[in-house]
Amino acid sequence: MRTDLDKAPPLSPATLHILLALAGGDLHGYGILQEVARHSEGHYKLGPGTLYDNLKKLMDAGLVADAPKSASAEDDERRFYMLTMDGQSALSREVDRLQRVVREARSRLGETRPKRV
Amino acid sequence: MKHTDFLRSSYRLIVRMHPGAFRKRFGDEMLWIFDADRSAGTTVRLFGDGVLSLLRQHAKAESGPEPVVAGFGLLDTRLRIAPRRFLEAGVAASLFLAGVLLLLGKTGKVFAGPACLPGVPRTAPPLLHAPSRIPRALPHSQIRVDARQIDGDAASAVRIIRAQASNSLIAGYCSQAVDR
Repeated sequence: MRTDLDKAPPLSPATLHILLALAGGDLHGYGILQEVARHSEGHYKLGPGTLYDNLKKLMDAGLVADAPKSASAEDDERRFYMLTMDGQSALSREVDRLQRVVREARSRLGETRPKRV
Repeated sequence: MKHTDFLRSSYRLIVRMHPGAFRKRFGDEMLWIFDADRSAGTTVRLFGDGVLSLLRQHAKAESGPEPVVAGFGLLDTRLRIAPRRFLEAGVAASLFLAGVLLLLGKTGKVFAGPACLPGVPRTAPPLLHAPSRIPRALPHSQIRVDARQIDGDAASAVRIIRAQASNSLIAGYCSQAVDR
């Protein structure tokens, strides 16, 4: 039986990439941009405006929070961001949804693939 | 004022035009990223992103919180944008972007990103091999090639076809291929 959380609308691409970047560990803004570029193999590039616009939305929604600074980063004035438990749940739901989409797409493409004569 | 200083000042102005709460929270970090990312030849993209962010933030300042969902989920929100505020922000942002593009265009750095290959001219070169007049092609029925005359060499086959259809389009292309 599906819960209401399963019926949550899909995340935007920028939001998904940011959550995915933060799933690997706490990062500052520039680190998130670099991580997004790395895991998308350079196909998806965020600008700072788009990044902080989405980070603000995610923080307001409680999916991302300010991370406590580690001892090694005490001198770094930049703020670090971390994924909350709700953020991890949202990311897991989105990954599950995408898996269902991919599975459905593969089955349909397999059915409609033209037969070779 | 140096070229880089002007770009940074322009970007800082765009950041300062954001709503106060957003600017205080993220303004410094946006400038840090601009400084770090600018060297990668992404100045125009950064400015475009900054202007879009400016418009979005002013629109949202009027309309309230926005969900993090994609696409049609946005239709659920009540979008109440004050037209005057939105227009002011749009005009100001467009003027800035136009000024920056103009400056970059004068210094010839707009298209100097990594996508351009060194030594490749920006304008398209003339078509070197395009015929000035397209010859009328002979109908296929008039082009007859005796297979026995072809001794297995591609060049000789082309010569035979050229002899058979000297004024045809096929001959023109074949001769170009042989000449190369």
